[in-house]
Amino acid sequence: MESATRPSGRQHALLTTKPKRTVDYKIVLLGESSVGKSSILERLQNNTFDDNKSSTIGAAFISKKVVRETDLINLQIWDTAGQERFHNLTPLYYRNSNAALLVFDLTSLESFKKAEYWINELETYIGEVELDEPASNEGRGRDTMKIILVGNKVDLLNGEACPFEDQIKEFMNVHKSVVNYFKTSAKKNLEIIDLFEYITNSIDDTLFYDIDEENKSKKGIIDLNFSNATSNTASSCSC
Amino acid sequence: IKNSEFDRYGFKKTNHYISTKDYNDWWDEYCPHLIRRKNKWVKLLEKNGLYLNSDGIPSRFPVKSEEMSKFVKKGIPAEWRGRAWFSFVHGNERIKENKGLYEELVKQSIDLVNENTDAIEKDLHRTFPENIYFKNYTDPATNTEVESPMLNTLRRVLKCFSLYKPTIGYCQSLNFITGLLLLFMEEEETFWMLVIITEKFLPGVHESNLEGLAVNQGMLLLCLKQHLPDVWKIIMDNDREDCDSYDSNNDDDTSYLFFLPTLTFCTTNWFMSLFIGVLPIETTLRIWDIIFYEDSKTIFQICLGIFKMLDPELRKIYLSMNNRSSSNLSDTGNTSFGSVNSFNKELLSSELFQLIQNTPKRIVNVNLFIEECFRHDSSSFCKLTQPEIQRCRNFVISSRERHST
Repeated sequence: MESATRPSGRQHALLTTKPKRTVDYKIVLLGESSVGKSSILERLQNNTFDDNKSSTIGAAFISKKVVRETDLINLQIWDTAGQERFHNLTPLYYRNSNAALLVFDLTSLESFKKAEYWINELETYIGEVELDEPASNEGRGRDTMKIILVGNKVDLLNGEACPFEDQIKEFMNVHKSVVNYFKTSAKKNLEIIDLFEYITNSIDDTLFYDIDEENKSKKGIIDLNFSNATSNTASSCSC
Repeated sequence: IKNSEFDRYGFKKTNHYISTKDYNDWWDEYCPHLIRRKNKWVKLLEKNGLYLNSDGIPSRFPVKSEEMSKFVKKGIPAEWRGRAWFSFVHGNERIKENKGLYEELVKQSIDLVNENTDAIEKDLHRTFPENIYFKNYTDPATNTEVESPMLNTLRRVLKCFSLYKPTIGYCQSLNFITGLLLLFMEEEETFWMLVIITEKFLPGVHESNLEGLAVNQGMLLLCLKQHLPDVWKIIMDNDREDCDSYDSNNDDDTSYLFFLPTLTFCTTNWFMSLFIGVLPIETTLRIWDIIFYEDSKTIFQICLGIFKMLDPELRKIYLSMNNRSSSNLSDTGNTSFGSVNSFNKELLSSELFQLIQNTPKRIVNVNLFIEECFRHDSSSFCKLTQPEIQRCRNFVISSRERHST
């Protein structure tokens, strides 16, 4: 797993001298119906699991606050409906997302093929954004969307390898925009924490802003080293 | 009911949003209301020369009237609901016109396997999984899990529907509508009720391109603009750079009916599941009473009622976010207004979405809610008529056609 050393983070702390900072981080879950998107979120939010969960209609939204050292991370997570006809609506959810989780069921090749659909969709979207906003140097602090592949229901494999493991490897090779792959089980609580720890640890420093304790209002960061920071973003995203 | 974990329909009484105390406090007050209403219903029937059948359910209901409308708004006795709904939408006429058709569809769909049936199978166990009638049970003799007979009926109805309405096939959310109907009526009636709902009350909403859903969203926006202009502004303003093309000073600009603002998507399941899961179950059922008696206009009145209730909170969030935005502006001087704003709007969007998503789930006090929706002095939309809604629908459809070309 990627080690989450963040040199620019330290530098940042020195620069601003404010110990506490916060970030609102938007994540979207995409994937075929019934692969466990909502269950993953239920595990994250309440640490519980239902064998039968209601189908998600349209979209659902949850927020989760994570405190890590002196950082307050406010995860804003969009859960989407899996059925194909809802795909027309999903651009609204992944637009401006910081991270996208492509979820599939490790026992269903069909659901994995849907991940292929989503990656193409996202890569097209990212391409368009980059065309629209070439190397934006405004203080908006938006990095490229991080895409993570999530194979859920690993418990159903009973310790055996996934029958389409090769295709997953191939997928990771071809799609360099996918930064990591996790095998999770919402049911058995496997790697769910690791997944979200990975996400929170790899949040780019430029996205954080200081909590102004005196008037409790958030403050935009004017980082003198911003051009440096953006180049960091770029390199950490194409690993 | 007070000591049970479940309500009288087999649903769990409490959840993340409603505590046992909330539920029981409400139920204490609601129970006498139910008894009172039922007595009044019996008298109303008698006045109209109608009586209860041997099964304790009237076979016919009085024709539409001012009085009847008031009665329906105060709730139909639960055990009469199925028959009342079916008679309001003239379901028996559909059955008579199509004698034997359902049976035929059942035969045709038995061995049917396709994309729709796959999707149906996936959703069967995800339809009211906590309701006692939908839950599978364990056979004590063999210690194996047995599928609830309700799920098998649900499967048949959905498969038949997918054959009968190929432009819809199967759409997620139909499982919930069908499931709830099955708690109140027979299988064949449920099938026709579903057909009528998707034709008359939610036209096009479940079709594969979801165009009808977009039309309904557009209609809701127009309703908001007219009846709750402040809420409308918040929803429109919440939209970001991509809606720059919208000219708020130009009243003729209807591009927002085509490029729907983001926030309308928190009302997706209001339409698709006809408020199931959006509102508590008793509230949903009481609203269904009114919808099936009145017409599709009620759906919009209820949406407006929810937004009216949310209005003060929406405003609060909106104002606090705007203040934040302007303090940002003064603090950081050289940061362009647009970027700070667009960042805050992202945040605003999620806070508003959460509010709109979660607050309705707490509307347990259905009497109060319905009263608020139809109060003459404070809800201008209580007088909304079906022809108005139809005109609104036509306007949205033609605007969307214009913008798509």
